[in-house]
Amino acid sequence: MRSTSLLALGLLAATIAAPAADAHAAELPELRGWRRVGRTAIHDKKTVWQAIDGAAELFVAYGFRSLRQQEYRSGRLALTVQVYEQSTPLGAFGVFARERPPDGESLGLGAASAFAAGGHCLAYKARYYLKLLALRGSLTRDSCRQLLAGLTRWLGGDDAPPRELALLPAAGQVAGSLGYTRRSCLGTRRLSNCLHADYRREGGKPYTRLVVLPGPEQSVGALWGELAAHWKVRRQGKLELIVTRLPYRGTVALVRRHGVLVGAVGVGDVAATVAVLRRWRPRVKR
Amino acid sequence: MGCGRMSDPNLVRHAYDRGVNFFDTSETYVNGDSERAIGQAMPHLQRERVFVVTKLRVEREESEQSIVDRFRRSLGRLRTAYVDGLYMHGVTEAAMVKHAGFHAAIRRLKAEGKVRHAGISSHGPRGAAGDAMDRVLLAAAEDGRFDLMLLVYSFINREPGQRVLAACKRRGIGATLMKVTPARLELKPFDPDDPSEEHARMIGLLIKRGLTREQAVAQLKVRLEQHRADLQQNRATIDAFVARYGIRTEEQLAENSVRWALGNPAVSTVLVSMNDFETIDAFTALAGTRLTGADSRRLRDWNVTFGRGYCRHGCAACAGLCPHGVPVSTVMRYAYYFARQGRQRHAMERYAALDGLDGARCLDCDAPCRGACPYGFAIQAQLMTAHQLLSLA
Repeated sequence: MRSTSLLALGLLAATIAAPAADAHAAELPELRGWRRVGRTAIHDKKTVWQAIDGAAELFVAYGFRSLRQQEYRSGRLALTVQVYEQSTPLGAFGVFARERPPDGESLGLGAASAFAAGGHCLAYKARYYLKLLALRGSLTRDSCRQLLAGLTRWLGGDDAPPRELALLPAAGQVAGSLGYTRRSCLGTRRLSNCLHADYRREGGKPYTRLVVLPGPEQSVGALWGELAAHWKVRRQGKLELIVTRLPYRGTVALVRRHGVLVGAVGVGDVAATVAVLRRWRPRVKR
Repeated sequence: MGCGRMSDPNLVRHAYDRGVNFFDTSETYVNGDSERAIGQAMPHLQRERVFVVTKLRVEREESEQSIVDRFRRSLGRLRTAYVDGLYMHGVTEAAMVKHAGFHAAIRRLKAEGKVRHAGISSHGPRGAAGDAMDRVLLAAAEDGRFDLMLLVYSFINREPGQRVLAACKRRGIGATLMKVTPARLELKPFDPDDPSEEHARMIGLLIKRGLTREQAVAQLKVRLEQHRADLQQNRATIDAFVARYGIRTEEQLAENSVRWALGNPAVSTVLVSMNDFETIDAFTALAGTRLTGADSRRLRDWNVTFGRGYCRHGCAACAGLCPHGVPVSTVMRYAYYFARQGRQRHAMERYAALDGLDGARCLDCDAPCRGACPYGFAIQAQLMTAHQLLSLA
């Protein structure tokens, strides 16, 4: 009886009127102050094209699993909620980073979230990517916040970002520059599966740090060998590095660390780039 | 520069610095990021020295205002005051060339100085419904309101494109080519005792249809042998050709195909997807070059060799013949994305979205399509090969 009462109190406190607390439930939840219109449409790899033809390729490139889409109405406002399930949290982050508007304002929800001035909002949490789009009228910051709070709570779990993101240091990182590129990172076909972010520099333009992750069946040695076949291998003291020049970015240098390759570009010459790499010790192992 | 998968402004800058002056994008490419990348590169380009076109997939009943609104968003992403061309994208029916909303939007946007030219693109029909590419584009030429066209044309897939190019030349329409490099598919050997993953899947499909495992293996073996025989004539010629010319990479074929296409005086330009610096460097090096006699002979031989193994984009000669309604041209276009454009995941997902209207239907079919292709394409064999390549199950 006591546990039933506590559960009831919990339900009242939640933004969602009938929390499923189960991200595997087919239907998206009721949201307080909003009315669901029709049933939740569920799309898998076979049918996602029907739902977002022309835009699905991005999601597929980052490991798309399913899309749940539901229309909600409140007074004169109508919106679509899309919940994408990707195969990994890193995949969900990759999509979020690609779709995040440059001027998006963080709402402090999920692993990360953004409200765009145009009246739509985005968030990701674990391997889920959430997208709220106004169909009629426009969403305010507060309504976005309330809706996302309900949805992220419904998803359950914690809000921790993918652990791979910790490979890039937070200190000095330019806000909103953190990204994950699956193919042709920095414009070269030699680099794929890259985490990257821009970093501030005193008296200079920002530069970019990157972490190249080996593929699922690939060792870091094999990845190194592939790059070494196309770019120059150099030695600076005890440090072995791979170096090349990229158009408009300048020298890029990569070294092996903890089962990944870490690199920097846009710092300056090789010596300056190496100085950055020597000081960089990734915090976590994959 | 075909910008269908491009989202890095540095690639646009690099292409421009290497002499590329034509950029083709669409509101849907990379979810708008393709247009954004061009927009971010725009401050580094001399606007009057580049030709930028974008495309909108227009719905049948779409209004002028809706098209204008969508275009204005494209223009915002492109960060330019105007585009050189606005295309009606991927048109599948000839009747669409009369779309009132599109033409009204073009009139308005031209008057405002936002659009310089109206364009249209077509891959032909999707499935049994719709019209062949040349029918759509010839209707557009006849309509007289289009200034630009984007069409499929290669040294193997010539005839429909030639008809369109002739019409373009007569009417002073700018013609841009896509899919200028042909595909090639292989048939994997079948070992009943140790079937490949794809063959095991096919056996599974037949068992689901009520056959025993032995019957399924026997049926698949017969079918594959039949299809191997269909392809054998090409196979022998391919092997001889490859040995004769020492062909090692498909890049060689791609580069010569582009040069061949640019050698046609009715062609204004060729779209090549360039998604990294390396590809840009390889293809811009071809600018200003012409095919040598030896190159032309080589391509002619490639045509003889692979002509029967290539399903012409935009062709509808076999449309409606499949008793199961398998959209042959569409399936083979996905195989092209897989084999020639390196878009494996994209191609497989598109194929999966056909939801069973695919090459698996050929497994126990008597193939009334046999002999239907005027170019000698072995439809059933190639569909099964494409199924091996593209199936996700």
